[in-house]
Amino acid sequence: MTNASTATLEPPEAPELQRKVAFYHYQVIGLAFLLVPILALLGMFDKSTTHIRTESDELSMEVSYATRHRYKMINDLIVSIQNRSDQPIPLVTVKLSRDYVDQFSIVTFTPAIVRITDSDYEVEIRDVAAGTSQIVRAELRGEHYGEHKGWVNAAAAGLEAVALELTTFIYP
Amino acid sequence: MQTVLRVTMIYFFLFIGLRIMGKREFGQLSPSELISLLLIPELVSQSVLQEDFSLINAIIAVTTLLSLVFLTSLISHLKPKVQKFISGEPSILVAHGTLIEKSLNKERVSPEEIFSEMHKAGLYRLDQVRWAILESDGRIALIPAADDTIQSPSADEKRAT
Repeated sequence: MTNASTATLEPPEAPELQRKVAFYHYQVIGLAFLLVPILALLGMFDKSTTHIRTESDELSMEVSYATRHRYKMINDLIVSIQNRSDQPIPLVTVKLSRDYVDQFSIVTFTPAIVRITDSDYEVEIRDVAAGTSQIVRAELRGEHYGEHKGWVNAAAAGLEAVALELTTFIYP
Repeated sequence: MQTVLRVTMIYFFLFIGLRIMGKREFGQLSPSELISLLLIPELVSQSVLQEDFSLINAIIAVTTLLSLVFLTSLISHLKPKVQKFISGEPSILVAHGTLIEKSLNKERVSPEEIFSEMHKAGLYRLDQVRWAILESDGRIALIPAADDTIQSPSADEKRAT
């Protein structure tokens, strides 16, 4: 209030308060919630992919897949098989463990699955020319929460097989 | 079973989150609290209905919203200017029995609304009102004239009614 006429026209203002940060004990616990959006901003809950690779004298296998993704989200698992020899390979069988694949809803598998056994799903790649690569693509949709482990294996008659382990965590 | 689990998780998550936000009565929500409570069901519904399929997404969205509300209230508490900017300032609609037309027009409050509020407070003449203040929460506060809190109608006024 700056003058008498204003003082009569306006109600008095609230007194000043020394303003500071104060919490109840239970509210301090709630501060932990602030970490969730920060972690989310840092990509903690986002999809994470990886590339892993192994090779033998004649075959190399590279797998690109999601190590972490959200429930019901669709992600690609791509297996790239390369013929490192100087001879064509007529048939490579790629096996994906059921322990792993059954944790997902399989949307598509290219090339198509040729066999399903108790332990794996099998896909065949034919006529891999020397020095070339062919891929197997699986679109997998996260169906079960938690961490899922499995393996992928590529083998050809008379050649040393190659294998890689897979681990994917699916958020709820 | 999954729907039950998901709804239960969301329920407790929101319950704890809202409890930690403070103990204000829901009838006196500030604009940011109102917006938050209107947005939360939108953010959560997809996850509950499994269209978005991801519970973590809903938790992130709600946590982000609650964090923003918390930070807004913290900053507005520490900085009165921010508080005025966020919540607005009260407007005086009646001063010493006189309608402040400029305020009434700015706030789009009619004299009838002022009288309606006066009646609820047991007042029936404008000169019984020392101040009528439109508060930041949208309610009209009435302060009666000090020496004329509630007057009985005069005999003439009784006849007129």
